[in-house]
Amino acid sequence: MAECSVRSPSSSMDSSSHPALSTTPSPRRPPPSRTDLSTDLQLGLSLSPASSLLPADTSSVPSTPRNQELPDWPPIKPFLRSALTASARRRRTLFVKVYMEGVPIGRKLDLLLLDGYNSLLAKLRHMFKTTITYADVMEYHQQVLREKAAHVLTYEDQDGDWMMVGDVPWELFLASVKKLRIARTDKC
Amino acid sequence: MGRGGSRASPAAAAPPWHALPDEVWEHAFSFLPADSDRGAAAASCRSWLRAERRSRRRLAVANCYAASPQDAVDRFPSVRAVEVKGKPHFADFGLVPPAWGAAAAPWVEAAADGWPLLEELSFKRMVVTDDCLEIIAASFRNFQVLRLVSCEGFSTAGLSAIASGCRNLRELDLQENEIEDCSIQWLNLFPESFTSLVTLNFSCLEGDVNITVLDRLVTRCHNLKTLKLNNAIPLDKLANLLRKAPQIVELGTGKFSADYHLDLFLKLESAFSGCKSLRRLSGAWDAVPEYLPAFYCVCEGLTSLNLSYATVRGPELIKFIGRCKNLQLLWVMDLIEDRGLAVVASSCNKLQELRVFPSAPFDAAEQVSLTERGLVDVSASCPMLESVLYFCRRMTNEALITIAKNRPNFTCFRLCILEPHTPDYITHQPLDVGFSAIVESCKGLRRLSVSGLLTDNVFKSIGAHADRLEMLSIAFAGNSDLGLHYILSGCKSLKKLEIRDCPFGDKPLLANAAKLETMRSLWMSSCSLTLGACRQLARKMPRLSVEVMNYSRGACPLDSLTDESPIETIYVYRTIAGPRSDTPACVQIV
Repeated sequence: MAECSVRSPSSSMDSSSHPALSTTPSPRRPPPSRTDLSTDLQLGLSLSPASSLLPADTSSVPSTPRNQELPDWPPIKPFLRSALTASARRRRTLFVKVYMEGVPIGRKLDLLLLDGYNSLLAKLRHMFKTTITYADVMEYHQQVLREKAAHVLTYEDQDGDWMMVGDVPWELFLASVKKLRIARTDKC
Repeated sequence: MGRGGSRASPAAAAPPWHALPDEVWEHAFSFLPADSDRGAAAASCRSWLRAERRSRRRLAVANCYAASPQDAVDRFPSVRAVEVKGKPHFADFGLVPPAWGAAAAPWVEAAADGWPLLEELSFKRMVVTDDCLEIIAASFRNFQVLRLVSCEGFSTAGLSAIASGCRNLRELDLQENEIEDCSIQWLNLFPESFTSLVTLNFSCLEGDVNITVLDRLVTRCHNLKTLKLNNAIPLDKLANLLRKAPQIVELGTGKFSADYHLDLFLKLESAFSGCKSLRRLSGAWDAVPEYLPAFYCVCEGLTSLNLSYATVRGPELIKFIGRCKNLQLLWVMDLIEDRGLAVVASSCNKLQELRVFPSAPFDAAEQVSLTERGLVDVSASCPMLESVLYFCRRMTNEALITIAKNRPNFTCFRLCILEPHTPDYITHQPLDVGFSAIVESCKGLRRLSVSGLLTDNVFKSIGAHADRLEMLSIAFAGNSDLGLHYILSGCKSLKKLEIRDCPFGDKPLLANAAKLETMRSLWMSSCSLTLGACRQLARKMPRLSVEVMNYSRGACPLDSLTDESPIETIYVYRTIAGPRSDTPACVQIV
């Protein structure tokens, strides 16, 4: 998740003679741009294991001074962090691995932070610094020529088949995607 | 030389030390296991240097960029066991960019060429590819131990190569790695004749494992002592596995939840009662209270219990832990709460290490009653407690002073108050006095992490008193350059210093540049450093590698930036290999 671009230098450090005795810290860095996930995820995908210890009703939780989670604080190792995130009640995640041809290391991406194919593509272009295209359903059928891109986005579905991203509506895609692969167009 | 021998002419009677043949020295050095002792001995004269380098069997490289793999092979030709560490420690918490580096490949290739008799290989925080694993499987005749900790870059295909190629494998220990699941039945590739396994840990593996294959493997490896399953192994398979390996000493269970069936419970209970040698228990993913009593029959024997993935709470959890009277190590979630730690305090008097992790680190509204109280209780009643990692939401100076008084034997004290800049919740004062008490009282402290509201005063105390401190982690603390100056001009034994989000700038860094050469590494992110200081540091200290990471600027070449440009992150380490050549775009070496 640590991405080269989401962090900014902390310019707001209070370096006055004595630190303010406040329990609400000033925000260290701008919150990553995220869409509100609380309303539009009625997909019925059991995306995170239900945790027996958490009450079902979350509406009574008061807002906290800092409910924006920092990607790197508190200092918890990734395995524990993802286990905890998975059982966090309000923040559901759908992490998938993204591989680019020729790059040995996969990167993880939380699809629930994205609101559709366009934001997915924008995110990946930024993460992998390359031009990527996908098979938009509408344009695909209209045979519209897209800009020439070096890579095309494919995904592995629940059956283990590799499909072109964009072949189904976004919500269905979320229900079936297991892995993403950025393939070179000249090999397709 | 008999004891009654003549003392008249000692010089003539005994051969001078330097005339002893190298073989004798090499044999003598084989009785010197500690690396520091060997290093000191090697520095004393040429013949000892020669003997030490030829007789060295184990090599630990704390930073893969501190020396080149070829240098290591050339200097220590007889090495049998190597451990190499890669990324900075803060990589564990997501502060290091994903493509930072630390490829294992150069080490694997050099080892394959230079150490054909290699038996053990450990990598920590490194990128280990499937190719690396294939080379390992193919290159070392008598390969026995592969330990990968917090590594990434490989898949179950690479593990297949290890399983099919390493005929004498004793340990396959995979801790907290990111492993891609290629849906390959890699366990199936251990040959039927293969029985040498002592340790099998695949707890970090995502995805299914064929139970039948695992069952057969466990059955035929009679020396299996450590078995750590992943959370894809369902609870109803555990009893069968345990019956095949009653000699087990360390067990990591898979998923420890299922609908309650008395049959299953009894099967589990009887399987556990057969494991008379079980000492260490972990796993217990998603544990449900109904099944915890199945552990009761092994509680007495347990010395180590890791429940850091067990989101179970309530009286059943506390009852279970309370029965483990011989625990030396306990890792739990804060769901144990203060009342659970009070039971630990009264029951587990042999406890040496306690870690308490946060169950809801991002949600202050979560009702978990875990405060300074629990740690105070444990510190008061467990005289052997020397290592603590404790996440909580509130702390007081008074509590820290009490803890320091109770346990001057701490060697490791890491306290993380979840909300940055949290003061003493009763007096609203900074926690300077409390942490000062810790360093003043605990003379043997080697590792310290501080948190909460802290001013430069605490660093004055740390610098002056923490003489044996080797690793210090600081976050959201201090108020000026003085803080960093106190640390770098004090802390005589400091090896690793990691700092994030502190208002520390150029001056103390440059004023104490020579100190950095005595240290292994320094990490500073989101502080107040400029590029000019990094340039000066690099010029002044040519044996240091000064790496700069500027995430938001992307790959902007350093030459085009002025000295005043702010630097988001620096990572400084000493190296005899010169600047590395595998930096990604967001890392630049000054």
